[in-house]
This record gives sequence, structure tokens and C-alpha cells, in this order.
Amino acid sequence: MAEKRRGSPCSMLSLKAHAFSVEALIGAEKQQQLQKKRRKLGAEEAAGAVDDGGCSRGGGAGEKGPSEGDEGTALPPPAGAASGPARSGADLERGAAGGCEDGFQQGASPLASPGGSPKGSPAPSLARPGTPLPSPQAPRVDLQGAELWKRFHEIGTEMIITKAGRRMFPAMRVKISGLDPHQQYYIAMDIVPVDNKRYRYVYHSSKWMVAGNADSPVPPRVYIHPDSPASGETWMRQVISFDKLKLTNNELDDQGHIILHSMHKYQPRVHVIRKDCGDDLSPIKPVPSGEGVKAFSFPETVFTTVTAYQNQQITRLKIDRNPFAKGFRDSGRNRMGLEALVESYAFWRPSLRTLTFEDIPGIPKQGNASSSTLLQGTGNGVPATHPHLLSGSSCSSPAFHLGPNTSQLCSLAPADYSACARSGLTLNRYSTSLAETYNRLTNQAGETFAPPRTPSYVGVSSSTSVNMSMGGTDGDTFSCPQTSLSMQISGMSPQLQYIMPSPSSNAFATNQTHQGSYNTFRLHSPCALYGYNFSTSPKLAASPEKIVSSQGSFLGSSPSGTMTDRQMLPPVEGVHLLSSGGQQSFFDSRTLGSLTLSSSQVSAHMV
Amino acid sequence: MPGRTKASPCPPGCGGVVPRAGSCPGFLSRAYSFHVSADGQMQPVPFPSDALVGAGIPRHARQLHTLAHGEVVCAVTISGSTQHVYTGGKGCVKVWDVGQPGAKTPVAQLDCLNRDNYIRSCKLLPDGRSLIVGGEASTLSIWDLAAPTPRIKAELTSSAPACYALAVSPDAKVCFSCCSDGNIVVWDLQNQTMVRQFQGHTDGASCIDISDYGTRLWTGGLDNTVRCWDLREGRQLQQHDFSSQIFSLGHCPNQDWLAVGMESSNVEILHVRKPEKYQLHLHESCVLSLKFASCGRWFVSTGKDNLLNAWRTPYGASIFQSKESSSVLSCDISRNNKYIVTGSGDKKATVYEVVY
Repeated sequence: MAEKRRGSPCSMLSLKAHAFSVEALIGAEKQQQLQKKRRKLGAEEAAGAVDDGGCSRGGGAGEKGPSEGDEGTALPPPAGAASGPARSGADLERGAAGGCEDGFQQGASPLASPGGSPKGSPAPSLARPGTPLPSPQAPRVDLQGAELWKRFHEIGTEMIITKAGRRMFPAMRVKISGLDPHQQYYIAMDIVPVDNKRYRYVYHSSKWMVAGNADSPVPPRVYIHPDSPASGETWMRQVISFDKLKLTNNELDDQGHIILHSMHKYQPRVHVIRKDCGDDLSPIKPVPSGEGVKAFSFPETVFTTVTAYQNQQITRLKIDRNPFAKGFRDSGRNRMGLEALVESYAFWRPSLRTLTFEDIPGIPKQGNASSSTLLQGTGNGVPATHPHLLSGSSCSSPAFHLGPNTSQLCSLAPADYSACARSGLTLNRYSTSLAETYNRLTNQAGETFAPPRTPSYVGVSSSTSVNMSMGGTDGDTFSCPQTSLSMQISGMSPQLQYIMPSPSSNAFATNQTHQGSYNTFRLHSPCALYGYNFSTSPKLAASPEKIVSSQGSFLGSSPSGTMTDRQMLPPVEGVHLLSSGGQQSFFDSRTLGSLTLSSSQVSAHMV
Repeated sequence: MPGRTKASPCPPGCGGVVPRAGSCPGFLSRAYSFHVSADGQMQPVPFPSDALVGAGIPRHARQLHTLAHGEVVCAVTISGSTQHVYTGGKGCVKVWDVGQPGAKTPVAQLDCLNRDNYIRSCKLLPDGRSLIVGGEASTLSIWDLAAPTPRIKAELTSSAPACYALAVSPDAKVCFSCCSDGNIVVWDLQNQTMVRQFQGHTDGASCIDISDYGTRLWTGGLDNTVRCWDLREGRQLQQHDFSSQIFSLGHCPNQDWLAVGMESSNVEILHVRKPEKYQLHLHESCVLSLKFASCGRWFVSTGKDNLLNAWRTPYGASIFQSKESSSVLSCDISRNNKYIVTGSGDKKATVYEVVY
């Protein structure tokens, strides 16, 4: 009756239960590797490695994940015999780590790096926290931009996949060392499932939940780095970037993209393949295995595939960090003039007819969200989250028809950017308006606003609230207050998609005559959350000109003497909550306009 | 080798913002404590001024003893008198006298299970005279500690292959066992019979605590749920679903908060009656154990990331942190809140003295 946990624990326990076995809880495999390395290498190297790792949390020290490449899954029994050297190693590490006293966590010591334990350890090849101690023979791969990956990972990284293929953001970028400079290698990447589950995102609790078993396996695909084959010296000289890799959900893809199922969890892997072992290497076959093939994976690069972003924090972070979306962020220029707008609309009009849902980023093929009104009826300014803003609605392509109550915004378009030149649209000024809007609308609290890159608290009015606007480097500060912001941002872009292809007609006439068929914009909360509701009419009557003018006035720079005032509701502090009547034509055009306006400048898609 | 813990990385009023390592002016900061409102809105928490100072709030902790058990210590408990520490490893529980300084060898060894099976939980009865031990076997053993040498008083046999966690009712009449098959077995300690089973968890039940009034039971499971059971009515009252397995939990002794340690490295502090919670992000790996101080004003969590974290109830201001040499699988706080004991994957237990 007593369970024997030695030998093959996997066969005895379910995957989940195994994660709770003592071996899993102590990270037995990690320890065994550690002990091996400690025995092989001297104490100096250990100390050196700790130094190397540095004290910066997650600065790469803990995130380096070179595995030894073998795909073995058996858990070694805790090696009692090796506890001697392990203990001394541990002492040493403590001593060395003690030197970095100002580390947030003691050294994030690579020797005992948490590394991210795999969920259910019987798949260590996928997420093994490898030993960062380099040995001359073994290649070692360091993830670049580990900080950013970590930020995403903390939220729950999502990657958009589309039929045509979508690049990843962040893209996998690595630096390799430990190669034989004169040997030729292929470098390739594949993406493997983390588990055999499919997932769904539960909006009201902002969590991913298992929603059943995975779909049947996808055809294997490998992305071979275009520089392959090349000498070890060449590889080690540069950062190896897989930014051209595309993810698709089309199982019949013939472009060589990597095929994945949506709403599944995946782990990217980098493979270093010696040329002589590379005969079997092909984009449509699994990566060969063998002595000359080494796989590396980084637990923090695990992601869930989506056709529309589920978590608005992800959206926000994507917007914030993707340099191709620079236009969204506050560029410091305020070119919200009418001309600028019209100019951007010109981009859109011709493509109106050819716009399909595939063009519009994030619009999901699968309907996965229930329709729910964005306006939860909290008419008193209680901010409510709008996970539904990002949810996919059951839209069928290509018309923009949403049911009267389908207030979903197809997912976050602005966060979907890619370097794809297909649309030729640039993201410009989006962030400016966004930022301004945000600034304006959240200014209610009377706090001064820094540009959106600088996080600040919204709605926290106590004197102890922290303005996290630290100067210095940007990048790493992803502050959660912006989660609320992301709502608005996310809300805007999809809106954009619908707004843009409007017939060029007089703004105000349009507005008035199309009241019934308006895309109403519900302003959900006074603070920073906006919800939008769409009517069914494809005649997106919120014409650009009107929007422009409203926005112009909103931003304080009156672009023209257009009839802004007519449409403007009395300036309000913050966002109005519109009654949940559905197709209303009333809206706070100021806020509305600015929001939509900004979104109008969103380019077609982003990753 | 007594080591000092690192005092809180951030002063109060900082809003849960932790200075980054190696930083220069304009350093980056990152919030680790978030309040999640009923509608799911997440905001970093601005800590009140009494977050880290005040009566009953530790300043840091100092390592006092290392107890070299020799096997991974999956279960620890410290006696009410703080004289003895019990460490559960493979097959046996070792008893240590920590009343005086000096090198430690066990004063007794209680052989409970096969040599190859781990003890997963050991709990003292309130009077300190008996110890209940459960682990990777179908039987729980009850040890009489008052005898000249500890001996087994009784064995309780269930149908589940393993017990992952134990709890004892405040009146010592009943004990609860979390089984690997998901059932929570309720044992009458006097008659040594099974009273009932709470069925609901669809995978192993990993952790358990009793609400202070002794009327409710809270359990966490590998099925990603936390469930609340009414002990008088014998039924499930609440269920909280998460996206990650629950590895540990604890009910605050005198406030309406439940702390949950998750496989995803989050610690979440749920309000037991209201739909709000705090989410704490200072662990980098699974949160393996969790315990509230008896005063309820702080609690500790331990992780697979080798960290021992002490937090302020309920918003989770970080009071101190201690980095150990290996995963910390278990912990206990003495009833007088002066000592913390942790069980380590490095086959030892550590006794900390809490410094106020």
C-alpha cells in the first residue's frame, strides 16, 4: 500500500500528483545536475559563476537555461552520497552570494537557481533549469532580453497565432557560447507543448484554467535559423535572433511556419546541431536527436497561444515594449491635427474592402467569449475590468457584424504588431493620443501625470501611494497600475477597426443621422477603464473628421474650427458611464473621440 | 552558522515596491503585493505605516540551530514549550531538544513508516503529549510522547495510499487527514475511528487548516481548488478555483483571511467572506508551506526557491526573507511566535529565533 517513489514515479502517479512528490518539491533533478557540476568543476568556478550571475534579479543569472540536451525524463533518486560535496558547494555559494548583499534575493544564485520548475517534472527536457556553469565542451545558450520575458511570464505570456502566420513578441534572441569555433553548426528552433491540456482564460478571475485535453498533435515544424549552417565562431559572435519565425494555426500551412493549436501552452526550444548530425534536419520533421544535437529551453519563455489577447496586462506590456509599436507610445509629438488624421485614414479606406478579419489583428476565428455588455451598469464610477474587451467575439469574417449585444471588442489590435510590411501601416501617434487620453482622464485624482511609460498609480489617493515614476532606465518597470490603463488601450484599437472604414461624409451630419446605427462607446469607468459597445451597423458612423475634431479639442489643440462643440458633451472629468441601453449615440465625444482617434492610427496588426 | 535574515527590502509606505538589486539612483522598482478587488482589478498595495513596525511584528530572524536530520525534511513541528522540534523525513520522525544551545543530535526517533516512504506531516496535539504522523502510507500513527520512550499509541488506517497533510481540532477530539486520493478523512481520536470523509477534491488534497473557531475546515488541492467545509454539517461551503495547484494554506488565527501558497509561486491572501484578495509575488517557485503566527499579524511562507518569506497579514508587506540552501518544504512557528522551524531539501531543519 505504501507507494514506492523510487524508480519510475511517473508510472505510479498522475502528472499532477507527481508534482507534489518529494522529489519534485526539492527539485531533485536540478540538484543532481548541480552535484555533478560541482564535482567536475572547482570551487573557483562556482564562485566565479555566482559573481557572473550577479545580484540583479533575473538579470539573466537565473534565467540561463542550458540543459544538457538529453531528453531523459527519469528522476534520479536524491543522491545521498553526493551530499558531502553538495553541502560544501552550498556553503561556498552562500559565502559568495553573501557578497552581493544588496541583491534583492541573495544573488539569485545560479547554483541554486530556481530556474522555474517545470509543471509536473516528468518533462524536464522542456524546462530544465540547467546549470549555468560553463564547461568548455558544452554549448551554453543565454536568453537575451530575459527581463522582458520574465515580465511577460509573470503575467502569463500570450502569443497571437493566425492563419497567415504571426511573429512572436518578444522574439527569441539568444547568445551562444561554448561552441567549437571551427565546427559548423545549424541553429534551429522548435516549439513544443508544455502539457496535454487546452486552456481557457477566465475573465472574472483573470486566470487561465484548464479546459480539457489538448487537441491532437500538430505537424512537427522546425524553424532553421537562416544563417545556418555557419561556423561556431560566427554563431558566437552575434546575438542570434529568431524574430522572423512565425506562428500559425493553419494545420495545412505550406509556408514553413510553426503550427500550433490555439489556447495551448508551448515552450520554445533552441537547438544547436552539429553539421554532421544535421542530415535529418528539416523544417517539417521533428528535430533530430543525438549526440551532436543539444536543446535549450528557458522556462520563462513558455507562452499560451491565442488568437486574441486575453489578459489586458499582456496587451499593455506588448504595446509598451515592442519597438515596432513605438507609435503608440508617447512620442512627445502631438500631431493630432486634422490633416494627420485624414492622412492616416487614407491608408485605410482603400483597403476597406479587402480587410478581412485576418487582417485585423487579434480577431479570433474561434468564438470563445460570451457576449456581455461592457458596461456593467456600474454607473457610479466603480471601475470594472473588461476582460471582454479582449475576448474574441464570435465574429465571422469578413463583415463587421456584431450582434446587438455582442459588445465584444475583437481583441486587442494595437497590441498586435509585427514588422510585417503587408499593411504598410505604421503605428504613429497612437500612443500619443492614448497617453494624453490617459493623462487627461485619469487626472481626476489630481495627480500629475508622467508620460505613460512612467507608471503611476491610478485611483490610489492615499498619501502613501507611491508614484513609481522612477527615472532612469525604462523597460523593466512594469507596474500593475497600468493594468487598468490597458483596458482603455485595448478597448480602443478594435474600435478603430470598425471606425475607420467609414464613408467620408460630413462628420456631424453623419453623427446625427446615424445615431441609431452608431457604434456606441460606453465609457465604463471614471478612472481609466473604458468599455466599448458596438452596434451592428457596419456604417461606422463615427466618422474620422468628427473624431478628429473632438480629439483635437480634447487634447487642447484645436485642429480646426470644426463642429467639435456641437458634438461635444460638456467636458467631463473622466469618463462617462453611459447607460447600458445598447445602441446609444450619446457618448462623451471628447473622450470617445480621442480614444477612437488614437486607435484609428493603429496599423493593421501587430504581434 | 547562524545567519541573519535580510530585513525587508522596502520601507513601509513604499506600496509594496521593492528596490531592485544593484541599483543606482533612479533604480527600478517593482511592486510585489497587489490587491485584487471583487471585479478582478489588480492594484499594487500602498502599505500602511505600521506594516513593518509595531508590537508583535518581527524585525528579522536569526538562525539558531541546524538539525541534521539526514533526509529531506518534509514535515516539522515545534512543541508548545518550544523545547522540542520534531522533524519528519524518510520513514521516521526525529525528536530534537532545542532548549539549550549546542550541537544537536536527536533525542529520540519514531519509526513510523517504511524506510523508503516520506513522512509528509506531523502534528502535536494541543497538550503536547501526543504526536500524529502521516505520510506516504495508508496509516497514520499516533505516538505517546509522555511515555519514557515515545511509543505508538494507535494507528489509523484509511484506504488512501498517502496522507499529505494533517490538522488537529482545537479540542483535540478530532484529526483531519488530507489524502492523496482527494478525500479528507475525519478521525475521532478517542475512539480511533473514522467519522466521515469530505469528498470533493478531484486530485490529491495537499494542505489543510481549521478556522479559528474550529467550525470550518479549509483544504487546498492539486486540483487547483481551495475548499471550505463545514464541520458540523459535513458539507462543502465554498470553493475557490485557481489556475495552479495549491501546495499550502493557512487560516489566520483571528482574522478573516486565508493564505494560499501555490505551485505558480504566488501567495494569495483570500478574504473568507468577501471576494477580495491580495496577491503576493516574492517567490520564484512553488510555495511549499505556509504558517501563520498565533497572533495572526504575520505569517511565513517557504518555497522551492529556497526562500523563507515573512509577511504582514493581510496585504503581504515583506517583513524579512531568508535564503536557504535548498527547497524549504515545511515550516512551523512556535505558539509564542518566538521560533520558526523550517524543513529543507538539504536534509536538515533550521530553527530560527524571531527577533522583534
